[in-house]
Amino acid sequence: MTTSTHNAVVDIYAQAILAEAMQAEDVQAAIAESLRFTELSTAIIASHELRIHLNDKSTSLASRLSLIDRLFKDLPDAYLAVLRLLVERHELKLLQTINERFTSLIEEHFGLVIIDVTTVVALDDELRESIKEKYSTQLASPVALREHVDQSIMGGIVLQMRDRRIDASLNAQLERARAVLASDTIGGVS
Amino acid sequence: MKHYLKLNARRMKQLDWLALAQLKTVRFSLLAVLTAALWATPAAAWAEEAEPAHEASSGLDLLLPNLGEFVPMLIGFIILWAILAKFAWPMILDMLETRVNTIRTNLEQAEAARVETAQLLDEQKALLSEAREDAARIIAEAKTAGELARADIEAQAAETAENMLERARLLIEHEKDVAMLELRSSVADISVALAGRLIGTELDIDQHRQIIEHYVAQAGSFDDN
Repeated sequence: MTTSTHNAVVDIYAQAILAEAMQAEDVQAAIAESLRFTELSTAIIASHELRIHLNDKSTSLASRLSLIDRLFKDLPDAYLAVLRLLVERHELKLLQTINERFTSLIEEHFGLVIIDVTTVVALDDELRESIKEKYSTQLASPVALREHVDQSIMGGIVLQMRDRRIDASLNAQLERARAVLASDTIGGVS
Repeated sequence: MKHYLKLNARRMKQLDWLALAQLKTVRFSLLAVLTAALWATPAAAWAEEAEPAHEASSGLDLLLPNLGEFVPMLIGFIILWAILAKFAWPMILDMLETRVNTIRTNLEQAEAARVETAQLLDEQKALLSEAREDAARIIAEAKTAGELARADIEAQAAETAENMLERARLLIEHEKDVAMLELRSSVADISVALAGRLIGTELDIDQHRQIIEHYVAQAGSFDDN
């Protein structure tokens, strides 16, 4: 598949998901839908066994589609339809790209920048507003946050915008401290 | 051998001289015998005549031979002499000559053998001398080669030992570095794990939110990453 064909296929999928997301009442609901699809795609990508099973050509298509229906029965029909199509055409590898394209389409449609925020505890309104204010000033654009709660970061915050990331989590800091302690020289002294 | 050959040659020369002397002696003896016989017969005749005539001849007759008997005797002597000279003499001379030649030939052969033996002896001496020199040279070369080989082996052994020591030192250094690295890593892991546990158990929600707020304020822009 050439790059242009690849992009065209991804765009088609993303547009289908966008159509579903645009049925939401407002921006926040649409953002929530995008978050939902993002979490779905992240979960599938993270599960190696699930991906192998869904890509296994020796397993019947009906069996694989049935698995999709049972695992993601609560998803909107559009999302489910996209997933079923990806499984049928053995194009699950496009999921990450579709998610990114879908996010871009949301951003383009609403004229804003989506930032994925990961914290140990849920953000309160004050924090939420401070983050939005800071980065809407920096990016010169309205900002929408997609909030994730992940205990593994141990504390602090992780910010992700498209392909850029700011990792201010305690986990990352501890890792840096561990790398410094484990290195041959500490402060220039070996 | 040489002494025997020399002695033999001298003796052969002596024999040769002796043969010649004997030849001369025989010749002289025959001559003497014939002369004696010749003179004895007339002397006897003369004596027989001398006795009866002694009484009748004078002193001068005693000195003069009886021609009637002397001449036949002389003729007989000459005939005998001729016969001997014709037949016996050559045969005797031939025999003697043959003996002389044989002796001379033997002497020459002995001399040739002596010379050849002397030459062989000289050649053997030369070969022996050359062999001794070769042996000495080979021994000297072997000694030198042995010394060189020993020095080479000692040098190789020393170098091998040095290399082994160096490799062992490097290995020990490497193992030490690896052990230090593992120790540092373990210490870091334990420290981080301990810190993580402390953070996880010690911080409440408000403290987490304070940390978040602090990091948000400190965090740079997306363009910095």
